[in-house]
Amino acid sequence: MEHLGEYPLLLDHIIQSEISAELLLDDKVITCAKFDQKYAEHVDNRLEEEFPEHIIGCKELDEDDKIVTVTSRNTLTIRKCSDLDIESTIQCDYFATSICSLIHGDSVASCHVFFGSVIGDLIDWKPNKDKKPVMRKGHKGMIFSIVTDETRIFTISDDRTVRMWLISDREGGPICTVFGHTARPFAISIDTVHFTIYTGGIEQTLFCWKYDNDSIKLFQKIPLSFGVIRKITKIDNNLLAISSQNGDLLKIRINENPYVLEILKEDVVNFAHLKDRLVILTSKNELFVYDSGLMDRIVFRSKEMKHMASSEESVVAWKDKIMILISEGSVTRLTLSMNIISISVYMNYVTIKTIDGYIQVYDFYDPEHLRCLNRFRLKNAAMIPSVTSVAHRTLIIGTTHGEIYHSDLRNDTDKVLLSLTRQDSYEIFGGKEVTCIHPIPKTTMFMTLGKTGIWSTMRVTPEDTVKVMNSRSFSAASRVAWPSKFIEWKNGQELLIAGFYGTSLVIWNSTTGLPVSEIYCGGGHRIWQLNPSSSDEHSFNFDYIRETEYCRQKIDFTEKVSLISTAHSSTIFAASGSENYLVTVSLDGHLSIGTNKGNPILTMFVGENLLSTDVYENHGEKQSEVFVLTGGGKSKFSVFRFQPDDLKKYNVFWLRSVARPDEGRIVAVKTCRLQNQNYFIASYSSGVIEIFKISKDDNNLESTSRIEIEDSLGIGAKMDYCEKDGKLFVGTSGSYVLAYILKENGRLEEENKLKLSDRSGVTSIAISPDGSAHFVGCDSGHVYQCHATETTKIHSHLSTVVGIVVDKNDLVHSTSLDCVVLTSYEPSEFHLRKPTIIDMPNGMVRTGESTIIVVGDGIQIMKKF
Amino acid sequence: MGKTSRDKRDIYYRLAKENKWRARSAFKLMQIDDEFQILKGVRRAVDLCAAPGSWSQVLSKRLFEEDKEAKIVAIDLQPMAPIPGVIQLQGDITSVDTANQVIEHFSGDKSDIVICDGAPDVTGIHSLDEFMQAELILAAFNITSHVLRPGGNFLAKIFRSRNSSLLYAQMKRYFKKVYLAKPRSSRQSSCEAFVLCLDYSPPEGFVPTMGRSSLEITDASGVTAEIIDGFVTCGDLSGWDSEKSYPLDIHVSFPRGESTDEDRNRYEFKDVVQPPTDPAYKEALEMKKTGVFSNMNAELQREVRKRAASQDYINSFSSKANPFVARNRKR
Repeated sequence: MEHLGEYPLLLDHIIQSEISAELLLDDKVITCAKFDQKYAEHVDNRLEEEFPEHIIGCKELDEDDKIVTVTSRNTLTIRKCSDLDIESTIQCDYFATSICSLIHGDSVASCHVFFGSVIGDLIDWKPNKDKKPVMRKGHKGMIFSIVTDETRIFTISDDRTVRMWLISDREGGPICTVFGHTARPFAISIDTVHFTIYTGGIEQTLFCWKYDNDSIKLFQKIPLSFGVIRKITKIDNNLLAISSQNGDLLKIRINENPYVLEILKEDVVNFAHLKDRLVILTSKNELFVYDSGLMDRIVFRSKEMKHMASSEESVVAWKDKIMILISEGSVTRLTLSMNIISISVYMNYVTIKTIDGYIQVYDFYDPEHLRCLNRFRLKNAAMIPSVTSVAHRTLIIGTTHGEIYHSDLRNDTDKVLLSLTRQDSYEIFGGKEVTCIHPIPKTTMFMTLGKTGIWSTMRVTPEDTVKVMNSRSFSAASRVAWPSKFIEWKNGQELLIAGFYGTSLVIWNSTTGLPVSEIYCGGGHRIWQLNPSSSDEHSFNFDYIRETEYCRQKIDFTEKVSLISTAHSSTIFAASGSENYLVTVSLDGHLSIGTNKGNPILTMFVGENLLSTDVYENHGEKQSEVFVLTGGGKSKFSVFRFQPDDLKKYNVFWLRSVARPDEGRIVAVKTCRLQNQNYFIASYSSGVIEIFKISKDDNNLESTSRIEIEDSLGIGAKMDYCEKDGKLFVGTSGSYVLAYILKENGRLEEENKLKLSDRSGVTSIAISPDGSAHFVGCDSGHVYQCHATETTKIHSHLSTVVGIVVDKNDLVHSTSLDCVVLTSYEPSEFHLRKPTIIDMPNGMVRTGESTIIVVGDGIQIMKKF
Repeated sequence: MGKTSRDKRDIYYRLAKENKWRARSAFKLMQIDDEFQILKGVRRAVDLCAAPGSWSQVLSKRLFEEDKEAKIVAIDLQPMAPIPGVIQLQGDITSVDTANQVIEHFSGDKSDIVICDGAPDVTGIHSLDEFMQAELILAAFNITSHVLRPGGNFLAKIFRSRNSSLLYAQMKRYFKKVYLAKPRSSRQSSCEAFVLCLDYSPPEGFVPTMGRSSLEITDASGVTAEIIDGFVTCGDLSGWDSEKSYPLDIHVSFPRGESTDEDRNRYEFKDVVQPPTDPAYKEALEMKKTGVFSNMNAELQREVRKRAASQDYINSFSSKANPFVARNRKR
């Protein structure tokens, strides 16, 4: 099955379907997943047969050349292998619905079937021998999956247990029952060679258990942060394919001893790699510089050095007043007039705090003409510089107390400025240490990390001030509690963030928004470096000091590879489209800004329960600007602003949020542009609509006005804006369409109120491209075309309308929970009807000129009608 | 199958708790009845999948309290607390015996109405959940065909999804009118709705059976929205809105506009979430609460450390592939 790795959709399909890999017959694949067209859409030749029952198991019986299928209604059907013709059907004498099965045996005569039922019964049935099946009791909740090692079976259930049963002892209960899962486990897989079973479910963690004749023991838990685990399939020796509820697919190599550690040298208190060179500070206060990591030849040594600090380009060691700076090609010794308290270093810049409380910054670029760039003293004498960096000729210093200072290197003054306001500093660093400052090449921007777990982007303005562009946190599922360093990967194309969570090193890919690796390293070791291995770009050497040992763990990124990935680990709840972008949000709090074909550009965690989003492109004369809004269950309203090039090249955007905890959920958001001013509108579940704009200093969102919708009209459930005449249309849960005029002072003035004949609430709204008509979809399934006071029913679905798109040819498309897209010209008897692949659509949007995208438990790009 | 998590600001949860309804779904039945008058003149009613009993409470209030002769039978696999005027039948709705017992309770007569607010335990696997929901409705219809008199009505909860239209088409074969009802107390963001089938008139020669194992109509592509006689929003549009968040401290536990200062003073916010009484995971939950899992994790961590330590040993002393270690140690 290894070769299937190249065909992720096919692999996903086989894993999602309850089908064994053996059913790949001469280039033909037999699948039995109802409505699973994700794969089928890509197949040129296919034969579809629909069976009225829900198939939960399928097996090829080699000896008889037959295929048997079992269904949720506990029937067994025997078919010819050649053409799937039914030979016979046997009904098991058990009538509760089953949701999983296991077919054991290689012939019809020896066929032995196990069903796992919704009420927790394990049904043991020999179709050719038993009149009545044997009910094996033990589980207290529905059984989700069954596997076997030929003598025993293993089951996993809603009661959170894994149970082991003997196949031969049909009257006996489970021989072993173990707990471990704290939420529903859905999947179980077995590796009979290594006596290992793997389980997983809602916890998003892979549980690895060892079993023997009478016991099962948990030996490893691997957090995956990848959505609810639906199916685990063994592909090869120690290689698993794991699929998630939201359609993601992960290939993971299980390493039973992931903690292989090399001790490279003892009696070491600090170390640093400078390209090929290795600098070591021993516990005997000796400093060594080796010509390579092999430690064969010493190129420099010095006694009496007690402390050491390093960056990727340089190392500095010191004791009392003496310091030694080592860069790739030189060693410089300097004696100060005061004892040194601490030093941080970046390239040739060294920030020194001395015992008199002064901080001095030296430039070692030309050791012959050493320059002291700044000498200053801060109000808070306890503050120690923790990190130094330079962004486009501006020196930036981060401190242990969560403050940032900057100084323009082009001026020969000692002027050092506090970069952020007290409030900004506290929000980003919380009074804790700044752990990393990473300049963004070719820009005046830089990114910071702090011990609070906030990742922020800032910009140095031409006025020599620092502005916060955005700050973001990691979702709980990402498990980065203490992000520490940015690490460039693949020649700077991707940026990794390395940090710690408990006793593990966590590596997270900031470009894709996915966790890459998590490895146990014990606690308290915070002198470390992560260097790419010289032989392979996918492996890294994680070097660190453990007590006084200089150790190395190898990290292989190919151990965990995402084959299919959306940014969301739960169903996409809302989407918005524009000419060049598709934006999606999910309840797990993730936002994905992608191209108009759905390829992610930026994925990030915004906050829990995102319910609404909007994207707006403003093509100005000089430059384009894009605005993205999100809102959700905790009333946090966020506005993103970016220039397309900045986002693409540097991942840079501006972000501000406001929270209105008293207003309930944010159910709809919309960007409106009026006379070169952008207004951002949020509709809350309290019935209030609030309008915001960006403040003059570009630093905040300020509220310009708010209106409260009359109680009897319901709440503003959906909104759309017609830029041409400055009108905002609001569809309410009380079945009204309200039209407002947006005024220059950022206020809304009610213009019209239209009551729909339908008494159900408005669930989607869209304005035609020329602004002449607007369309509303309701919970009843009806879609209406509205002019000022008139409505005409144009589409009828049998379920809630979740999306309407009007294209430039005035074709109206609507979709609903029926999983069907209806298309017609304005009022017309004739409709085109096309089923969606998405099982539970939550929205339909248009991107580009005419691409229609349906979102829900995946993203479906529909071809132009 | 609601899409968003329950909100403690949800007005109907709070109203239900304050007014002693066992679940907020009581309002759904009341609003449907207010619209269609389905309980008017009913003397015999059956409530399928009745636990925890909120719909039976409504039947008791609207039928038994009006007419002490009215008979109500509530069926569920689970026991539930007694409700005045409601005969509880602990049984399986897929069994003919259960159907016969219902008719016995009605002294040989058939029921005027059958209602079912049952829902399967949702797994999140759409195709499976959809299937289990269809199974449940099919089972409800099977027993209904045994116990419902011609001309009677049937009301059942459905989750609208890809193939719901098949179910409407199926019901249309047995009932003269099929409506889709959505009470205001059911959230618009939920795919929940109620299929209301009026005037039971089975085709000639129809024999009720419990053995019907699948819908007779299997092709959804030809079924259009006209199959139903209408989608009806039930409940007062100016009443409480299930989509809206109301402040926590308002006079919501009382009918709108009827609260007095005294009422408001004795208002006390109650948590709206009612956990299941005997969930399958009870034992696991107990273990979590008593710290068994924390200990298990600590033990796992200890073993990991132990394994890591023994691995160091192996790598430090026996690995030839690591020449630095040997050399460094010699030195």
